[in-house]
Amino acid sequence: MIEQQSPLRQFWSEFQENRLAVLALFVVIVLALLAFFAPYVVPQNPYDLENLSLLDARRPPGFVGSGGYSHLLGTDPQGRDLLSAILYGLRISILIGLAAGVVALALGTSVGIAAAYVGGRVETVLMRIIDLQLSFPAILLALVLVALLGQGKGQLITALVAAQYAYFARTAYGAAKGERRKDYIEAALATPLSGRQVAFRHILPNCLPPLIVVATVQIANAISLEATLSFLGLGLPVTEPSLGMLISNGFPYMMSGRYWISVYPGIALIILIVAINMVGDQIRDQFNPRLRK
Amino acid sequence: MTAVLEVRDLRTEFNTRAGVIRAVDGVSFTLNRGEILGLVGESGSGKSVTGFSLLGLVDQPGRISGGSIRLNGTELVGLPESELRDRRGREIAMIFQDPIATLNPLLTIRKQMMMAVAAHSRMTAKAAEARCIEVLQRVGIPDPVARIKGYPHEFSGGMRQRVAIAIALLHDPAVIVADEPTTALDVSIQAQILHEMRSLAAETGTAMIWISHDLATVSSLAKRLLVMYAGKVVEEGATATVLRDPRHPYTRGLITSLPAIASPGEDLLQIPGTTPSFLSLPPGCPFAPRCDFVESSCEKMPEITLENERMWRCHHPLGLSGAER
Amino acid sequence: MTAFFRIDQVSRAFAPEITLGDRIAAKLGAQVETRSLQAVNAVTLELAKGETLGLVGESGCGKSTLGRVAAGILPPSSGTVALEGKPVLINGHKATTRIQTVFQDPFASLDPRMKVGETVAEGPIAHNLVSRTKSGGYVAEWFSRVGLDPSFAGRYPHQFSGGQRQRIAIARALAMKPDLLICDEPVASLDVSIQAQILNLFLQLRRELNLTCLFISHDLSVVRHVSDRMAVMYLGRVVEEGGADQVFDRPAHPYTKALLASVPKLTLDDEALVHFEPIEGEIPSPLSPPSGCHFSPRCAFAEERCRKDLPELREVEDRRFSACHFAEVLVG
Repeated sequence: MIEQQSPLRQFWSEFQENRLAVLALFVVIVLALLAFFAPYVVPQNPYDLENLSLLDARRPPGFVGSGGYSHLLGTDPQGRDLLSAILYGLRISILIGLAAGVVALALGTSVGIAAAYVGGRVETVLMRIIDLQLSFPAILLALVLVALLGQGKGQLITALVAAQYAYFARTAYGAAKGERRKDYIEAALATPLSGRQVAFRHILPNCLPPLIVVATVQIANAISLEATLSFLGLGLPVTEPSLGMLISNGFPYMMSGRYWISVYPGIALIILIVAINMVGDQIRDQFNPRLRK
Repeated sequence: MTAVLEVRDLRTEFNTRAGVIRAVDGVSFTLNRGEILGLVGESGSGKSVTGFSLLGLVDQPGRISGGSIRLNGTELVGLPESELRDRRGREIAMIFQDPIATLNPLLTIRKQMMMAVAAHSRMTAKAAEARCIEVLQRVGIPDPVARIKGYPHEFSGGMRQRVAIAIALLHDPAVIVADEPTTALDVSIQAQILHEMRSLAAETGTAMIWISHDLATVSSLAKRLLVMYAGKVVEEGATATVLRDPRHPYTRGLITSLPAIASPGEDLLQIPGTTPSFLSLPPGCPFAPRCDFVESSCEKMPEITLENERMWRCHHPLGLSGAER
Repeated sequence: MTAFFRIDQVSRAFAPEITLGDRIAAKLGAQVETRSLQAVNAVTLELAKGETLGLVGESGCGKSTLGRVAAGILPPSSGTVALEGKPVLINGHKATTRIQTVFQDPFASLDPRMKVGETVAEGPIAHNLVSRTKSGGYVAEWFSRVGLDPSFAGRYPHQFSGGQRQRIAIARALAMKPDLLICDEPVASLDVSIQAQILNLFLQLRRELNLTCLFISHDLSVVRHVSDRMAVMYLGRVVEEGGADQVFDRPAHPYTKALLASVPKLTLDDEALVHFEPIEGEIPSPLSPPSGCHFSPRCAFAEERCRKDLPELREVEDRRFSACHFAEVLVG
């Protein structure tokens, strides 16, 4: 055999061949770091109402406000420094997207593999429910759930998980069904390992590649779904604006020339989502043997 | 005998991330009219790439990097793709291992064959259909007038391979390259197809290159035999002579590896080790690391020896006078 | 006397899955396939301890299905499989680890995301054959037994060639200390030179461990090489069974005879290129086997009776069975 490298290193060396994907990954990491360390990077804590002055509201980029520093991206209608608000907003968006993605991944994968493994009636019932849910727009489901559960991070994540786990379940089910038929599973079943052990030790790890691809895409989707809900005023409290709400806050001023309030958070959101999707695309291409050279 | 295909020092390379793979490394042979030439080797020997190179069907990152392929006197190496395409199917055709992949499942056999006819000749639909039925008949498809209207999935594996052979025969090509055409088939079906291929070559004068890993199949079909190893022809000669009295240790190892030769239950005289990777070939004879007769001289690439219409590439050929090993 | 391993009147059918949609479609007048496929039909086979039984046949004859039933992977539709008189399946679940299988495709039979050493150790640890702490040495022992460098245990399957993978698969099966090994086309996907190595390894291990083995293959020369006895299957039924030499030298069924004649032989004589007499016709679909003897439409010896009466497998000579009305004539 030619390759003697560890699978991970080989994966990375192939990943590196796509310069654009490396750039995208770099952007995602930088944005995540900036968001994570936002309190140390930005001049203002936009969630601390004490810091805000309405005198600074809706100022254009470069304005030096009452804090004595320059608002590089301007300020929003509440007088928040927009750069600070965007990074704090990114923090919430990434946190919620990641949390929703991981929980949905765990839940969906369990459902999908259980359906594929147990088979019979359980399989039929579970997969019909999943199919039913997939035929229903995710945004609608999330809207209804948020309206029912009320505002807050936990509620939002619950709504996002409920709207998204079905994608993971479908993917995990398809992958597990394919692996289940392979001889190595038969060989593992010829040992005294229980069915559950076989599912966890053999089937699950081999279903991971497609799930990782779906996970990257679904995290991006969760972020944009959260932004959508916040834009519609159904997301988080007004005191802790995420990117969607920042965009929504600036919306009334778009036509009066104060474009920056909506546009800059929008750009941040687009960059994040496009970058995540580009990374996801590259991972998908690398996992798909048909696209391999 | 007239040579229809003359291959001299053919080289095909693949530029990969890990290095240059010389999958075909100086292959030469001559194919006469009506002759069936067996090309034998294991996976990774370069036998299939040799077949694809003859038709100019080497895809990126591979390319023919040297040598000459003369088909009916015309040099094919360096010919533009449009001219190659014009010759492919008309003068030289190929049959693949997997007939499912070569037939379009959405079109009837008739439609696919008519398209193949139209690619190279102009004739009325009636004449074209008559031609299709004629070749289907010749490859042993029962009731071709009715079966031609069917779809590929309505045919069994053996029948599909017959259709693929019929398509290859449509334009009476001078050469057919058959790449493991019976490997996927059952023995009883393989026997039928071998039987028909042999009479075809004799009746139509079409020359064939029969690429296979199976010495027994090749030996029941081909009068001459080429044995390939790591991109090189290591031995060539009349099939029966080579099999009876091999010169190259690799050829001998292939023969003694066959369970049909040994007495039941006895250990087979195996070749140790595995087929080498093209990226880590030893500097001298590529077979040296697996060879029982290796000596220091094997660190240099052995030259070709030609003798009595036989060829081999070994420093220490077997079966010659002197110390019998 | 009970046989060491006995497959008794085993049948296995695959019924098409009829979903609600199909039922509605059928009600509306559509053609829905409801015939079940009889992959294995009333097969009885016995293995004595230390014996290797070769099972040959062409594609669709049911040999792989029978192998999976024998291994307890597939439950039979009817009939029983028993090892030393104890059933292999209890309530549809495999009740023994004493039967292990080596599969055809060494690229699908190893978990690609597990180190090969772990793959080999997994079963024995779960079965308490070896403790987790001592499993390293146990794996190393089996690796060297199948001719692999024990230091390879930390590698992943993709780092091995097909032949090496098949060695690992054999180590995994044998590390469970099985009493019966089922080999389902173990060398079919390997190159000739590698095939010889694996066959030699198999013969060597069989001698050392006194293995009992069911060896399934489409390749008659391979089966003859490794088997003491052999059974020939055609369309789900065993048509002939007997000592390997007897079956090869004096076949008692026209199908065996024709199959042997179809195998291309190594030609060492310049003139003798014309060798085989192919069997006429195609293998019929197992969904609609011919009436009477299933081989009768392709058989050179078939008479009126063959198209009506299905011949039973019967003992023609001592420990020699054939399902042909004219077996005695054939054996001569």
